[in-house]
Amino acid sequence: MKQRTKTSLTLIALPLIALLLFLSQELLNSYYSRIITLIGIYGIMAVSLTLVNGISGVFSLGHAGFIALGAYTSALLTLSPKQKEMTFLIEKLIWPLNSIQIPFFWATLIAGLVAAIFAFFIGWPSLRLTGDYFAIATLGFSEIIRIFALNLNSITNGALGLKALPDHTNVWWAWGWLLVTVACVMSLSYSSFGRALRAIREDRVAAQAMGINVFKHQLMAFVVGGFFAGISGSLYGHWLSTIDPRTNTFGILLTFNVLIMIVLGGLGSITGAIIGGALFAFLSEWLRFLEGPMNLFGFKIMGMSGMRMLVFSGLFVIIMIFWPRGLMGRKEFSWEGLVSLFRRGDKR
Amino acid sequence: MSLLTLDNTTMKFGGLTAVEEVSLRVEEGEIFGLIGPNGAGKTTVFNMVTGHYTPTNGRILFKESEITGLPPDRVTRTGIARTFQNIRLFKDLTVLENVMVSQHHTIASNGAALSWLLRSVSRIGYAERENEMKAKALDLLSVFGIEKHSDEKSSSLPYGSQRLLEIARAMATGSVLLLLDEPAAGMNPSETASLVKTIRRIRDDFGLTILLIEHDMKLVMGLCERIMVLDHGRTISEGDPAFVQKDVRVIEAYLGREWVTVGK
Amino acid sequence: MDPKTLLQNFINGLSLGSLYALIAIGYTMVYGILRLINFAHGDIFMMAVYFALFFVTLAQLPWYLAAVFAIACAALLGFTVDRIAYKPIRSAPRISALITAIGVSFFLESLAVVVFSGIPRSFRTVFPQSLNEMIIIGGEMEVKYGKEVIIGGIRFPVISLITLIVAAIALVFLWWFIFKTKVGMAMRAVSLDIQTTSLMGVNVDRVIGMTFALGSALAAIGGILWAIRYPQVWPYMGFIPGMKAFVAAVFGGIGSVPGAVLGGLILGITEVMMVGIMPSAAGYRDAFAFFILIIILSIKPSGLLGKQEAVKV
Repeated sequence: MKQRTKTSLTLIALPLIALLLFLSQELLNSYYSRIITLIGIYGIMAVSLTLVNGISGVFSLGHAGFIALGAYTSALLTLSPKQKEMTFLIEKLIWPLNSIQIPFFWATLIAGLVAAIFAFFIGWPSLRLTGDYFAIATLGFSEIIRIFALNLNSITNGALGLKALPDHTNVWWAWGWLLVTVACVMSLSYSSFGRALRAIREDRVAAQAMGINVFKHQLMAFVVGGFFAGISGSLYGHWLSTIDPRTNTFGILLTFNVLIMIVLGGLGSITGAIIGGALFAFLSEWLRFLEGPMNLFGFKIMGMSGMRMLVFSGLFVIIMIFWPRGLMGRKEFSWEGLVSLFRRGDKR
Repeated sequence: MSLLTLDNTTMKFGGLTAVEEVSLRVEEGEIFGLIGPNGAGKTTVFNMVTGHYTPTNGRILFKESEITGLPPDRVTRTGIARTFQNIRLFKDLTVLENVMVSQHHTIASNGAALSWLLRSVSRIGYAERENEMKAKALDLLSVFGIEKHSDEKSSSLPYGSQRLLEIARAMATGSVLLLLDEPAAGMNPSETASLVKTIRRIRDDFGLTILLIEHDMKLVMGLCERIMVLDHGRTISEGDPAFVQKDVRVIEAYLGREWVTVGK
Repeated sequence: MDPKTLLQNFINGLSLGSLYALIAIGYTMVYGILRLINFAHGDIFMMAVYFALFFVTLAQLPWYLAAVFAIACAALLGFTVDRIAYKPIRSAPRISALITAIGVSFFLESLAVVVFSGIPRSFRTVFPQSLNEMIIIGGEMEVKYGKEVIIGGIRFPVISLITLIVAAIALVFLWWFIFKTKVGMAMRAVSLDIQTTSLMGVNVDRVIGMTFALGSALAAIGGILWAIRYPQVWPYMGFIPGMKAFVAAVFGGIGSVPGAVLGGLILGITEVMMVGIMPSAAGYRDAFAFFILIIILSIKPSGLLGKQEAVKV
């Protein structure tokens, strides 16, 4: 298929998606339209993690830490000084944070940058370690971030968290940033840089022997992943409108959820990551019925809370054992692929 | 000045001495053979040169500047590339991509890392560079006759072609010194003969210097201009093929003392 | 800190450390054989506590029987987890195994939430009160829950002493098992070289299963002792102790059982000391372990007693 055809198809598809998003906001009730927004946010989380875990082959368990950093940073920047005055009861918020308030876009961008900076300093010592150790190190850092958030009363408001975040996140911000994320990550992936990352993933020693500075490339991928994780954190925090460090919303459970998304969709596939995110969001909602009273073959069964997570983790383990490639494997969506999917039916 | 110099290099792993006081010089444009029984330390020598191991003692010089202890990617960037005894292709990448990966370092060198990252994302000047690299890669593949497989996954190639691809990949780094580790392993006689011609050709056409490890004596004696023999980590002979073949010490190392005394 | 408080903290730290050590042994044994970080280990610890709780409250068993049964069930659980989840992916790349282990961990945690509910329960009613009282020698009885031992003025809870004794007994048993029994020898062989050992006719899968069972049993002992000391029981209670025990295992040299013990003890002592010296930093107590982890991984990843693994090219 000619490049020009592909580009035209993409240029047509984008406004169509935008139209669908618009309709979703108009036609669906607020509950479901919020889910559509959430899918966009999940998509950013998943794509940023798949860049690190899937394409670069570096197993990071610290994603929640960067998401949390992004959430806190942007919240501290978008809350009005008055709100901060009221919320920070244990200790006053430090200057200059206590007196500034900036628009959502800039707050999100800065959130991404802060997360990226942390990713740099976390990645620097951690990437010298091999696979499992790196995973644990990133998990450790993610936990350290959470514990610090729980204790730094003058910056994060400690255990009280941040509440009543302005309701900035809407479908356009979420999906807009998703578009940016996908464009950047795809661009990276389909470049010499991306090839180098994949080579590192396939055989680190051989990649080094071909002149690639493995450490530097992995670090760059890690930082980019951290950047977009921070962005997603900003969007997520404002979608939740509360940041509570005591629960597992920004802890390892979140990392695990994003892992589920990318494993479902296919580790190493950007399209897979988005599909995984959407599937996760839908399944989460659909499985909600498990937690309330149910009517099974005429019997009334009391649902149990936590069932959803049980199903997800069980599903996760089963997928890892029987179907580790996930839905897309490492393949990406392509116009040719889509066409051939239809053509296969013709050839009878 | 020799292209590659090993000066009294020793490699110890704890109590085990894999390489002991080996010195060698490879001149520009030569095809130099490194042979010896299994476990003699040949691949260890390679690993020291390429930076995977740091010699316990001794120095390694490339173009008269010291490369001892440099990390492998730095060594490659100075102009030395290698193939592996057990093929280490990038399995999930296509044949073409395997070769193009080796070209990556030519555009993503040290200082430019960040600007290069931004350029990857923004695609400024990207297409041109990419097409250039692709053309060069295809040229290289055609030298070995495997360009028609360029879009297949490298793991789908027949064994002999995979070995050739490894060489092409090493050449694509732009290096002037190629270290080939058992390039003919597992090849049948006709493939081997073809390989001999190919290696000679790439040395002539691309101005390379070749240092190779091999067990196939026909190939070694027929292709190499100079040979060094290692046994138990030490040099036991060095010279041109005619000399080495007749050298008693070499025969002893390969076949054992009895053969020598029997007078073969 | 005056010498009395110092000694108190030391004993408490030693006791906490022996808990970490008991759990760390399980991590290190599994890693030594399979090169797998068994994320679910901390959750077996948690399950054992629930088992003990239910054996006492539901089955009305006396506490010592409940403990024994809980330990046995935990061992069985560990064995089962290996059989069902880890055995099928023995040959998969390490990253897949790691991801699966995380999945299993979350599965067990959510299972606990569903079956036992997420509301914290108390272990206090389960085991004899006397264990949690302070030891007093020749002193006055002050408050009902505050009997204290004053040996030259040093005070510590009974449970600290009990923990040390039980842990020591467990370790002696472990030493005997690993070095003096055939199964133990098989375990050592498997941790050195799986393939050769299987060629020698050893049923490697069974040995691996036994290793999981043994590690789980030790974690169960640690869990029950832990719950006596910190009586709050909830599904995620295994996460932090599990992580800290893992840090201890890495610190001591992953793959080395003595290393795990040493690492656990040192970690416990330093953690308690840190809080003793800087009470205001108590909230960061958990982060402390993670800091140790990162420092160790950066300086000497093979740990105190571990060996460097060379990479063959």
